Amino acid sequence: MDDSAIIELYNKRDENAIGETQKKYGRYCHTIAYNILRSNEDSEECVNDTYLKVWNSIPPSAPTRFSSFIGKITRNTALDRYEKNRAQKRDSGVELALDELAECISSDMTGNISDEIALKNAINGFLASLPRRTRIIFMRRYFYLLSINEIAEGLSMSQSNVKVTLMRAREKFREHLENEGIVI
Amino acid sequence: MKKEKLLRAMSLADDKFVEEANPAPNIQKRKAAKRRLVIALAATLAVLTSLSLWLFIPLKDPNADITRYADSEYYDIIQKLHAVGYIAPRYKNNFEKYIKRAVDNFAPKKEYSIEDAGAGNPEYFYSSGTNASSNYQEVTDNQVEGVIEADLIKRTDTHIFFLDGTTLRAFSIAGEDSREVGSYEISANKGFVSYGVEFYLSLDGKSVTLVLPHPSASEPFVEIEQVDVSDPASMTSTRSFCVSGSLKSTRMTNGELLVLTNFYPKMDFSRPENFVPSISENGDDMKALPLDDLYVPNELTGTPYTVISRLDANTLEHKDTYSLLSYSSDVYVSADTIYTWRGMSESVGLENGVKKYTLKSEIVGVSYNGSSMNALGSVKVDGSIKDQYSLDQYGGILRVVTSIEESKYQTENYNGRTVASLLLDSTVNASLYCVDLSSWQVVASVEKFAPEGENVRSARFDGKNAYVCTAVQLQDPVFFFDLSDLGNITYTQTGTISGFSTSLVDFAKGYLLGIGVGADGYLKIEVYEEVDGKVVSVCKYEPPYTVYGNDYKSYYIDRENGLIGLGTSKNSNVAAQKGMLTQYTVLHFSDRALTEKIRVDLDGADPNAKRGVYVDGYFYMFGQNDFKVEKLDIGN
Repeated sequence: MDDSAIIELYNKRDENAIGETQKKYGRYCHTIAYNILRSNEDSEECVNDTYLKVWNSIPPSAPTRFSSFIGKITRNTALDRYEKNRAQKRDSGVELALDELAECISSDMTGNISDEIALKNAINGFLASLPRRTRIIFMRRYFYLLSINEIAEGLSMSQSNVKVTLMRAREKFREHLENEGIVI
Repeated sequence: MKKEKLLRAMSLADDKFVEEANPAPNIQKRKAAKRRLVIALAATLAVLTSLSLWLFIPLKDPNADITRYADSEYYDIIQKLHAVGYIAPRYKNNFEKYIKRAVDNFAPKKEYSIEDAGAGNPEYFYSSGTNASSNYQEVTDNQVEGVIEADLIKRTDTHIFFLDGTTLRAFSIAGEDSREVGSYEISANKGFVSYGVEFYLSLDGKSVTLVLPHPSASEPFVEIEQVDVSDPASMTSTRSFCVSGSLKSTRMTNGELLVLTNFYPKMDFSRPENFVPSISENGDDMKALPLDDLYVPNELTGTPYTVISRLDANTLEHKDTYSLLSYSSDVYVSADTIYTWRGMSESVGLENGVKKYTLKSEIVGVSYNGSSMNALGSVKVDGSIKDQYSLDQYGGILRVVTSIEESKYQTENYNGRTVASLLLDSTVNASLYCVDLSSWQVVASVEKFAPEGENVRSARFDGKNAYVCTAVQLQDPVFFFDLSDLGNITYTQTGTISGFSTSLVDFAKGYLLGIGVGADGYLKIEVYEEVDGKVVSVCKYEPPYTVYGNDYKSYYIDRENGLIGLGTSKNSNVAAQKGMLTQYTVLHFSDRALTEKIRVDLDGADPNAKRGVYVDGYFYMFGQNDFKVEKLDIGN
């Protein structure tokens, strides 16, 4: 079923919408959740939570790109769960990504995230400035939270190549945030 | 917590970047690629496996095992046919079939001669028949009185019927006023060739029975079609009968039509019609003959059947069929017995790989006068039999004239078979045998009576006499045999004379007519008689540069009026005329002399397809779409 038809089912409050979503995006959502949570059980619950959130979001939301929409909800749901679990267990994958991202935060950046809209613009401006391949590597690492190995395999690159690319991208990201005056 | 916030903030990335980096499609692509690879590998493996199986699994021949037909009523026949006719595949598997064959093709070719000689391909030899009554007048020079042979011409008192190719034409008998009064076109879609089509005319002159061979390569059959000719201006088909096989001959006698065919069974026993002769009446489907109608010898030497169908000449009702599991070269029909024969080659091994091959003929007699046809016996004689005139039944004795041929060959082994590769020596001659029909034993013979190298060119029996012409190239003697005392057969001959006769005809009053060629290879008609123990020439007719047909039925023989008619052609080059002159010639034998009475142009390139008949002072001649009448004064 195509995305618009699924969204139409949500709009009509037809419970088949969840079944169709699961059929089409279940594996996709599970992958995103698993990359963060590293647990099938947690990922399953996370994905179920995602469906509920999508049910509650549409309407009024009317996503133009349903796959990204549901992917982001899954990601945030998984991150929420991750944070809850963090006190009890640390997952090296996410922690590594977090540590890497820490390099992007200038020592001058203090206080709370200044403005979500400004941050969104900064992030998207940065992503737009990247070469496509670098952008994909960056997003897979920090949005989808894939491991270095998974990225390298997916793009037929060596792990060291991926690492170097990410390192340079993070450096640019840091400079970009600084130039945009983003304070985290 | 800053880094956690930044990580979460990545969710603010535009959808397009999220989608762009979505690893799922990539994973799916890889999975799809992996799946394709697996499928390709599986397909390759399957192809290789199939190829191996195709190449090396033994070729299965459905005809190898016949036990699945054990419940068939024809199983006894199937077993015998299979034992004699089944040929195992030459190659065990496709690898051998294609690779070995390719290798064989590069091997040097050898020329080989005989081996498996003997039973040659059957020739077509046709005739057909119907019943008759009041005004039927015989035109055909039948070999045996009362046993009518089919022909291209038959007549009544009032009409002459002539088969012109596939058109049956009716002509009125009215001297110079004669004309064609009707025709019947044998439908063109019947698939037969005009060669071999003949007919009979009923005794009442109201019905024609056509004999139509359908010489299909795969499933030949013979159709007998009856045509109502009571009104020659409107001839119509009335009924038909079909029998499978290739036409060998037909005869009409005692109100019955005998149709003799050779049927070649296929080694496919899935349906009886494949291996048992079949018949159909009036357009019904062909049905295999019942088991009771099949005679199968205990020992088979070949798989073809000779099928003799006996029909009511008036109604074409199928009365009886006799199938002999043996093929026939030709047929001679006496007043009560059908004699068929087949040629074969028998070999005897000599020293140093030399083999002696001798041509032989096996003759089988089948009685047809009773309520059912029965095999009477068989006999094997040396030599090959030329035609029906080489046999004659007389007083319980079957007389046979044969051409002897003995050859010595150097043999060698080729692919497991012994083949004759080099002719070392050959002997050709002629013999005469007398077979007692009560015991089917040769009781008297004159072997190798001809000069060395001469074989039989023509033969004719007349009561206690036999006349035989042998020849090598263009010289012949004609032999007169006295067979009145089988314990003391005597013969005399003409000595070497020019040319030879392809047909010998007893011409009444002790004269023998020889139709053949002279020293120059052109037509010669000669009359012989026996005087003081010697055969002498009475007279001869040798028109310059004239050729003739060798079908004995194309000769009009009128013993009562001393007339001989035949189609002739004259070579245009020497005649200084353009094109071959196709003609009809009529001779009159009177006062010990042959006189040319008529020689007219008559269309038709084939002299064998022309016919003539003398009726009440006029001679009627028929060619290809041509008809001539000449007044003929023979001094009667």
